[in-house]
Amino acid sequence: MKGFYGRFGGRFVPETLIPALRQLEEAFEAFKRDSKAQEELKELLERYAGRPTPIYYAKRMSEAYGFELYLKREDLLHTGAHKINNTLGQAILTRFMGKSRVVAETGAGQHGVATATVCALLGLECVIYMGKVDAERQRINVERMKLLGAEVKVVEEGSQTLKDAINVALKDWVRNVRTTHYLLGSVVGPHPFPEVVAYFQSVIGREARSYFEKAGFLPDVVVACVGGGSNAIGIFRGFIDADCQLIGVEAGGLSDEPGQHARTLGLGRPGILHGAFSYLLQDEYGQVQKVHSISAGLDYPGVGPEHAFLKESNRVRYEFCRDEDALFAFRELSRLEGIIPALESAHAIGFLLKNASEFKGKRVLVNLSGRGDKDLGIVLGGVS
Amino acid sequence: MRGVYLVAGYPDFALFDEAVRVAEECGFDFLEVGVPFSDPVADGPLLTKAAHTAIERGVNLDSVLDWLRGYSGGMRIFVMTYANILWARGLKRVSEEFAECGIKGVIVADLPNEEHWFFKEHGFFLPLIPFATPESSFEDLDRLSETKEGFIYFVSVRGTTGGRFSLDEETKKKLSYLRKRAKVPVVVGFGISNAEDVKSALELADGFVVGTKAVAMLEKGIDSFRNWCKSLLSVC
Ligand SMILES: Cc1ncc(COP(=O)(O)O)c(C=O)c1O
Repeated sequence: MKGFYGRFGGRFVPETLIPALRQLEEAFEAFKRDSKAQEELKELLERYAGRPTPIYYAKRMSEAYGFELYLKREDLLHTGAHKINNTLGQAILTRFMGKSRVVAETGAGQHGVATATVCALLGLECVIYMGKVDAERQRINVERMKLLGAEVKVVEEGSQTLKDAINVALKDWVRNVRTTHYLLGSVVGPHPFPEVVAYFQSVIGREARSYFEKAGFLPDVVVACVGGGSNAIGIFRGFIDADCQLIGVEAGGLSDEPGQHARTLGLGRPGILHGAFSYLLQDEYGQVQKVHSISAGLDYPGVGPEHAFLKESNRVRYEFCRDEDALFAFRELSRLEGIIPALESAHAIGFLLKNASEFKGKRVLVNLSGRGDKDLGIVLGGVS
Repeated sequence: MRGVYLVAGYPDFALFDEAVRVAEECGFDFLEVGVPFSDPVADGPLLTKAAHTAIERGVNLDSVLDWLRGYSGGMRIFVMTYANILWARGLKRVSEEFAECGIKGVIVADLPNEEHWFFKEHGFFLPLIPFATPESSFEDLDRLSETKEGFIYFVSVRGTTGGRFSLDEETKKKLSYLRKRAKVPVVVGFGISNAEDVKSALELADGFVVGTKAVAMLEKGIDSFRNWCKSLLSVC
């Protein structure tokens, strides 16, 4: 079925948005046939964003923990996270559709910054929605977005985090659908967003795969953190057909109590939120549950539909990392390798460190999705 | 068709129940019972807040079903909610439960026409009310005019609930195009708040629904609600 990954996906949005989704789908297909536009994106990715990113063998961490740790350095990209792969691509689609205004949601602020950046680059009007809780805990990114010329609208409804920012961005889109593109930041939302975002993020996996092919071996395990799931899909797509174990790491928060974690795939049930049928943390009546993570980018009760499919087809194993283990990994990678990771990415590392014995002697590739400057306030100041 | 939308159990079940009775006395002939959802992406600030308050006060599908079972008035009743509320209940089970209560159809704000198959395939068997919007293409309208049961809900503005009621020429054209062809009534909703809106809605469509304004008036108390209902329907 079109727009579905197995039984997951679809387009569960107000009717008013359906024509805009069809238009996006057409623009996406046109882009894929347009070699000039693809060349333009490639140029921007190379000269503006800094692709390809290196694979770095983390020698001291590897020695300390008994596995071979390779890092895909998305943290080195312009704006400091993988998010810009997608925003550059969708900015070109926005132009294809003749739209002049962009709205986006953001959790950690990385997608907001990456969106504000491409809007500055291409001269598009930009409005970013961010939950109040996130705007407080990722303040530096709020200032960055403003400098870049975006209007940041703080969302005070519901849990005041990523989920609510998406709700409000969707409402803005319904009101302004003719002029506005909703530049969604992860592999979530109604079709074709999960596919569009996965397509633009899969450059991560392609580069990584080609690095290892040249090196003459493949990793045994590929690990990525999962919020909505875009950096994970991006790297997994490079290895899905290979004999590699794939592990997605969700935010374990404080405990498995409802409201204290964001283990959507681990502890949720299928449900419908933000346009897709996927896994969802919800109560018995279908109300979306409160979630918690120290990391604003993982603090989300839903997950992309392709992940729900990869879980049920047993191709990907979904694990978790608690707040404290992510904080430990954050410090450990800084201390041993001189790399300060985003708290989101620290979840992928934290899971490995916590379960180091299982991976003894294995070659492990981690998608280091972003850098951690934005998180110093949380880590040092105890803001959460 | 003169319809009113109210959030079930809001501000509480006693007032809601009274409001339903008052609405019928004043001349409304159908009721949309809103089952609140935590993340209502089609609703403006007022109905979003009302939904959150209702949920906090313990309104859930069980308590709404209890109220529906006890309803003995004469209005036709439709349920309006979001997809996950029905999905979580079980789509077959919830349509059986609604059918027992005499529900005539269900309006699911985040279930567009092209995803109706998903609900049906999972055992949902009550009429799903389809939507037309200012963004619908004439092809969409042709397809919609084949609708055989319930009514067609024309979402009259680009926006969430609670906006202002004003139709541009293109939208009016679509509305009359659809109305000429449709086999079931075409009802306009979103943004209607006063008698004047009702008058212009009834010139263009077979009926209307008021929502945000009704809930706002009920928040002020049952007397305000009654006076508003009377003045609103004075033009019908
Ligand atoms: C650095 C970084 N990694 C990961 C994520 C989580 O998103 P996703 O799961 O879509 O990669 C975010 C989101 O803000 C992020 O900033």
